Amino acid sequence: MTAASPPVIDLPPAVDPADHARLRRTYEPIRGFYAWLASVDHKSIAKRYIATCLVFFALGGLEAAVIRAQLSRPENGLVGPDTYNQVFTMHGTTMMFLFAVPIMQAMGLYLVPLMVGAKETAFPRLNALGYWVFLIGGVFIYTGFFLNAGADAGWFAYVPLSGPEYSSGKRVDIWAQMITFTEIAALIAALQTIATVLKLRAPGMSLNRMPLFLWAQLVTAFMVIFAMPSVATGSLFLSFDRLVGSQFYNPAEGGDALLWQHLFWFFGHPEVYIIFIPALGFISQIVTTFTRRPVVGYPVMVLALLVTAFMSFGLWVHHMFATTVPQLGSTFFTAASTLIAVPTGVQIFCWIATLWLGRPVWRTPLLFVMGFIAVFTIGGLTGVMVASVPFDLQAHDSYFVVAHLHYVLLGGAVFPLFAAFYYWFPKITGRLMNERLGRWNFWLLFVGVNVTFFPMHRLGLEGMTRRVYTYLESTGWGTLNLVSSVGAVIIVAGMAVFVVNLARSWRGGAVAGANPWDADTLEWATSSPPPPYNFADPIVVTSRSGLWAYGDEIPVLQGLRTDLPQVLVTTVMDAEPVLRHIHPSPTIAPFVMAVIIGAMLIGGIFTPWAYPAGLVAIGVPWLMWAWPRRRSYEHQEELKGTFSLEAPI
Amino acid sequence: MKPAKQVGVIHSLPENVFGAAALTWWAVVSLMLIEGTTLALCAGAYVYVRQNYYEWPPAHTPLPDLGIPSINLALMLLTIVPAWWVFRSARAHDRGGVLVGASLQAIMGVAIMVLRYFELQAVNVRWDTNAYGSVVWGVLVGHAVVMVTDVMDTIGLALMFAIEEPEEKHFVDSCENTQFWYFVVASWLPLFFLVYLYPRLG
Repeated sequence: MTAASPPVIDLPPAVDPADHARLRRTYEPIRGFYAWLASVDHKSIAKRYIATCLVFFALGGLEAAVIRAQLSRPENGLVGPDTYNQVFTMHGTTMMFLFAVPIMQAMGLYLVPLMVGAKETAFPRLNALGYWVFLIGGVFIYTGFFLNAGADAGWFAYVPLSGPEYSSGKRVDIWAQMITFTEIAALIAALQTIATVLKLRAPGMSLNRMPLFLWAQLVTAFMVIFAMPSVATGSLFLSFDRLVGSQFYNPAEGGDALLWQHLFWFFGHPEVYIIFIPALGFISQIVTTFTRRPVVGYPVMVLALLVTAFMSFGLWVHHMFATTVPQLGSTFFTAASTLIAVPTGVQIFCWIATLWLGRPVWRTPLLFVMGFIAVFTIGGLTGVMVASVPFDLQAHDSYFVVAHLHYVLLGGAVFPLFAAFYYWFPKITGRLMNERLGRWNFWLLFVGVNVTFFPMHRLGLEGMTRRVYTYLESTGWGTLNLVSSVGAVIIVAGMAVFVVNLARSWRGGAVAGANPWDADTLEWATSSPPPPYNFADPIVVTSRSGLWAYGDEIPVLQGLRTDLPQVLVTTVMDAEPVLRHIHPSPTIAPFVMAVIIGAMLIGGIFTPWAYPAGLVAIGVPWLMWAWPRRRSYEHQEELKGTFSLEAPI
Repeated sequence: MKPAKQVGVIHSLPENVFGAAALTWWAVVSLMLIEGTTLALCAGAYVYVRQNYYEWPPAHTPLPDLGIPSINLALMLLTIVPAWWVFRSARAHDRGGVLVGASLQAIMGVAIMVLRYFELQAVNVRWDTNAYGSVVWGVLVGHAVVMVTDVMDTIGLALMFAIEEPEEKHFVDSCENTQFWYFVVASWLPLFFLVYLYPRLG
């Protein structure tokens, strides 16, 4: 993934300009294919992550196109019921596990180290491991799909349908194991983000000066840590029921089908917010930049993120209102599901106030933000409707819910994500995306989404259920389904414009320079694209306004090594420098370990002995990873002096 | 780009520290949160399935034995001594001390894993007999997986300290490995109660 290189201008500030050459040698010690395989550069890993997620997004989109083509008229025979089951399961699975969650984390893996002003992420080798595991998991489930072994029990794989009695063969096993792959990757990314945000922030970037994007990423990372183990545990239980005859979900032997639903939705509902909260971070940064003023109500915005995250763990049962959960419990979850609209509403009002008080510059990223506000608000309002038990019992498993969830996810994640692409593309490639094509992209997507999904509200109220591969003409649903399918064509057109824009801008877009939007956060204080070492000297943050607060010079600290990859570690609360941490060098060990983990998990579908064998085999790359390697220090001139600052941060 | 202005120097900051200032500490704490959540969910599944039975263990299923599990628990508690020794020696940069402590901890860890295998026999129920068997095995195996990762890590560290002159960061890693072992032992206490004592409460 290499752009036609724009001229490198605006290198990050350095007291000694000769440091740039030294740092480049240190951070790019090897080149070629091996270097690519062994890379631990967070930018390189994140770009692969984003590209891989976009490929899965395209595949999930193609599956959606098949669904809409099949449903465009009554009794259509484009695909049969079995293929349809696989297609809608793969669509949901792909969009949730292989696109939405990982791309939000991947954006963080690229941006968080830059935005905190660090040279690298906290655990670069672990970062590489996470990507390779994710890639193998995604390729694995798609290999199954192309071999007619695609998952077919819905993206939430309810038992008993997904259990051994009703789903023979390996389809569900592949699905359940893919969950394990993606959970490992997600947890690794979360761990990175927590340590990077809490410990690698630029000196002076105390918690109350942290950009809202970093808050969003930090909150999301903690959510991942508490939510993902639930689906991982649940899917392992499912695997055991299917492979070794355990009885976790078998009611005949004291097991419980609802145990699966609890484990799945204890993850599944926070997952919506795991996708949505990073998007809120994108929006806050974009609104700040394009209104030329800080977001109104910073403390309220941070509190709203925290409250949303906390409350999102208290909503999962609203997915289970149609089961036998006690009425008192349902009442509590109705209240919680309604209440969570409050912190989100608070944030929307803060953005509107910011736009009102600022001087909005209507570039493409801000257009997508407006699209988010409109589309997501509709999804949020129908969310409040289905939070009510009586209404939910009527709408459950109908197209009303399909409409609701797509308004929420497209509005709450895809629109902000496109805003983010347009906003940070110059940083990643050094070139700006085309504005005219960007506007076409936006309007086609905005119109397409509404034309596709709005009629589904009506279809659901008329009784059309989810996951049916066709319907009779006498139902009268043909016209609205056709309208919905036409909308899908408009969405595809919008996506095509995006791809054209991406390709054209990648090679020939206008050269961006370091800070084309005159933004305030630290990633804009280095060249576009950033050099392998991100920053030469640690930048000192003096205000919540970041770059906007500096005069003619950028304050920096001096004293990190240039002959070894070294990052400055700071304190959690006030970001005071405490440690010069030496980072690991590139190695192929994460790749080897990922391959062994892949073999172990794939083998585990066929024999449980794959697990002990795999655990032993992992010892080899672990030793490659951790074994001491004497590194040369000869380039380093002797640096002396005591830690001091000319003025308090 | 605006030019840089040096406002301070950080030459004298250390390159390795112990405790919460170190990055490794945060990795280990995050891992504890992840593994702790997973084990709590296994315990939650155990309690959830309990609702489906009038008797616990279910009728015609014997109570789990206490002999081997109690011996294993005692051994696990005993490992705190070599683990503490590793922690102390690592802080003092004492290679020999770390090597002795880690070797002892690794040997005891392997013994605990072997005893865990016999514990699986001692619960007197197979994983596929009924849901009770499944959740009991789920708790035991779930905790064993967490344990085996730390035992492997300890073996690796012992090997490294035996063969190579350790770098300073490996002393920090040894301390963090010890912290994780404390978590492994501490997390077993409520799970031991759940699997072996709770069914005896009637």
